[in-house]
Amino acid sequence: MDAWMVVSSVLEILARLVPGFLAAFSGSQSDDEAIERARGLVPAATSPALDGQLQDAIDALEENS
Amino acid sequence: MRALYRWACVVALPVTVAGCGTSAIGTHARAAQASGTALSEAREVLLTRHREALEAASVETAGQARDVRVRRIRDEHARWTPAGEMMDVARAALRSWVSAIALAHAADDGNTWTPHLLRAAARLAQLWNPLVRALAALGVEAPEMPPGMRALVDAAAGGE
Repeated sequence: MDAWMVVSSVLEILARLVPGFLAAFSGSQSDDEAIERARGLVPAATSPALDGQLQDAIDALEENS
Repeated sequence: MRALYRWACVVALPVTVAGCGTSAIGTHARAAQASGTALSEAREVLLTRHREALEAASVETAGQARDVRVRRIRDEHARWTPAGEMMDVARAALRSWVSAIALAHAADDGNTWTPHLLRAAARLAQLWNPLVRALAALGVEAPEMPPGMRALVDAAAGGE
């Protein structure tokens, strides 16, 4: 094995790792990942949550009376 | 020398495939992420302030008849419901946009779908300022429209 073979093997390993590091540290995402993440960031419905808080506040009156 | 060529190919291919270049679908998906984050944060603040307002109404009417207290709490709640409904309309627009992005990606045809994606983004953008005003009226500071989304909508308006 000559020196070129060693250098080329090391570079090849680095080359395989670089895209992963780029993706991990620069925040770059594939389209699939970006779409999945966008789906996960759609918030839950707000009106039912507000209604739930109203009911909790009324229930708390009964507990305290 | 052959090893160097081989190395260059090994580097170039995955970097390209990993998405260093930005596709239209990726651009929309990332703008939708930013919009989802902004809406989620606004929702959390809205819920916290609403709960505090109901607690304040309860404290304010302490010692009064139960039905008076319930009426006061319901009146306070009623002030917040339009903002909640507006938030849900914005949420539906965001969901439609994300679904359109996913469909465009599944169809593997970002260019044909681009006008649909821009219209979906524009629908959410149209709701943004009224939502910000509705939240501001309740003392809730709402986030500005994310720059990525504004850029898309501006580009769509410029292209019409």
